[in-house]
Amino acid sequence: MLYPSVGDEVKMKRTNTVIKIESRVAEGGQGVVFRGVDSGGHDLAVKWYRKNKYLERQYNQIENLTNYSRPHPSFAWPIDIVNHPTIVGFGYTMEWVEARFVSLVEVLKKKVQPNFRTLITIGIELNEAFSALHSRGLCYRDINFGNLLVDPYRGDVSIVDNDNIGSESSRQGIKGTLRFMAPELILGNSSPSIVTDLYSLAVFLFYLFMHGHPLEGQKVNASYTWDKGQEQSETVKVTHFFGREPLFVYDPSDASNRPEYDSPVLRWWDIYPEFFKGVFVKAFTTGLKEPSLMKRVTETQWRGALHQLNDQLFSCGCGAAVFKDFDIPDKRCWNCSMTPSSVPILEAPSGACVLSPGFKLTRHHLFKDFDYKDSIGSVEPHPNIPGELIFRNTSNISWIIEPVGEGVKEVKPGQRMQVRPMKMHFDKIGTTISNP
Amino acid sequence: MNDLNSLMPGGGISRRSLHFFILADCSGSMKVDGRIQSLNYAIASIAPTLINWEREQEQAQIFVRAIAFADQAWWHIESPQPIDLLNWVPLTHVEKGLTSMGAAIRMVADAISPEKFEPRSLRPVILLITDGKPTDVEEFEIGLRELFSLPAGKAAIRLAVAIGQGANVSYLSRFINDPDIPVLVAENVDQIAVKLTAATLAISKMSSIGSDRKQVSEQIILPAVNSFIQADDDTIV
Repeated sequence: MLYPSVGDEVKMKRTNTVIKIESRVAEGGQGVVFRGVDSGGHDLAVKWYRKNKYLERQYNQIENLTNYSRPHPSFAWPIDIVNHPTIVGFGYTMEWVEARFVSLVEVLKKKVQPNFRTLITIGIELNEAFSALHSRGLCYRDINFGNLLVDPYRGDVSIVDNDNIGSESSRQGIKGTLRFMAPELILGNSSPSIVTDLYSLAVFLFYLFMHGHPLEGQKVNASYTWDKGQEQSETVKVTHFFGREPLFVYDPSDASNRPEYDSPVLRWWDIYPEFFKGVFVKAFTTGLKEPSLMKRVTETQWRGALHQLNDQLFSCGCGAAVFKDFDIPDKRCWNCSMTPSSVPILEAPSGACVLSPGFKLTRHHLFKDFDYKDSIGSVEPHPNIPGELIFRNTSNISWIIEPVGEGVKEVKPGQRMQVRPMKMHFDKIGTTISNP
Repeated sequence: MNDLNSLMPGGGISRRSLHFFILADCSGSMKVDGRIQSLNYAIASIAPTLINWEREQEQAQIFVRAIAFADQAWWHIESPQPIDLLNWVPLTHVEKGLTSMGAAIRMVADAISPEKFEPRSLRPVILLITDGKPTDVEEFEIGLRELFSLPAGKAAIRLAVAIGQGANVSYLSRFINDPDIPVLVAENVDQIAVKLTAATLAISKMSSIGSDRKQVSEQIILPAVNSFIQADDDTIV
């Protein structure tokens, strides 16, 4: 027998906890994944390795990972090695991923897309997970779409197949999935590291927001031919276009690899504000050819950019979700081609924010302390006046406001105010709302 | 949550087509032990694996075509069907039918010639399933020559499943033409689905561009072959 069967019991190595195999869930390149239940009735995932020549290395790798606590809630982290009474080999247990999580790529392929707040939340969660991993000196090494599940309604992320995670220095078999691999890895000039992970993260985020690969444009497409005498092997092509001479589809100084006419990237790219596109330009120009923590875009930069993007989201009069672009004041809507009418802007210390339904004012907006969780206020549609907004004080201190042409007023914790031009005071921090 | 409930751009990502050709033997001997029924069952049972794989990766969109062969070869599915819409009409054996494997290979070669084959597609996958050997040996030779003269034919991932002892592995090895990839032997009908699953996993791994065919073969195809060898090695000496 190569694998446990349904009904078998496997035992955790450290705690001797018995897990009963309930069903076979999936089969992959490395082995088979089962759903198991412990004596307390909790679901667990059990991955059993296929017999192969790397088995000993895989064992050490997993054993090592079980010594670490989970870096971020998004990781379905290995809990313990499991053994079977008669079957040679081993498996490991990890947390069971709930059914609300589906493959991200599956979501991106769907006609109806999650709203931008959800897409941004997915980006933020993914970025935070990698940040937590890298802060511990660990790297993921093999990021690809098979590893990444999301809740398309809430934006939660679940990262599975963590068996390739390790410290930068440890030796490891898998180099990565080619289309997510940094050029220096493809060329064999480097081994997987935090720096190469940062490249893969940028590719992921590009897919998330732009719906395509950052290097697959007209130039690469032109090389895909089955004509006699002109074909090259995929390996040659990959080494060339993803390794030796990679060229970003929106490289500012070389337009020869722009997205193909039928690529979804064309449409999505134009929607985003210039500052956000600029981060991708950095990631795929200097970050492409100069592999270092300084030249690649780090999680800190992505964090800032993603939160700022969230702050610039609003709805055009035609109903389309659009972003305020402070660099292009009269930017047109991607749907109706009109310049959206003006929107209320809160001049927070962290930067200008568009007040639109779903916007949450956090401590970071006021104090720039990277606390994005604590909510100070939230914007909702006005319950009685269509088109107007209200701002709810969700903090525990009163806001002092001076609406234009009105006297000084207080917005107590839990109270709501109608959004209109004014000066606002959050304790000692002063801001304004304008409607230019 | 009072969220922004606005219109979003439509989804979809650009993908390349992965054309999957099934060449299925419908000769007279396929009726033995219900082989043809097992073959139909096996194809139906690998479809979900392929659909899952397609769903979880960003690069390929799988299209299926099928050629059946007996006294002659014919298109069982001629226009490429997206895997998630695949409606497999069961094949039936041809009473006393021959094994025109060569004609089938020539048909697939024609379909992947530069004039007909989609330029941006990934390298095609050709899966040959048989319980015998070609009865049209001359055609078989021509077919292989035609296939290997084509860029897409040379680049194709060629896999073969031999059903039972009657299948001639040497012809199939010549079709595969890669020492790293063994012929998958289904000793009995129960194993057809198992071997096809192994072949399917190999497809999903090998078709990711630039993947190491040898490593994939070692990790996926060979264990399946080895497990068979182990099972067969319990003779008492």
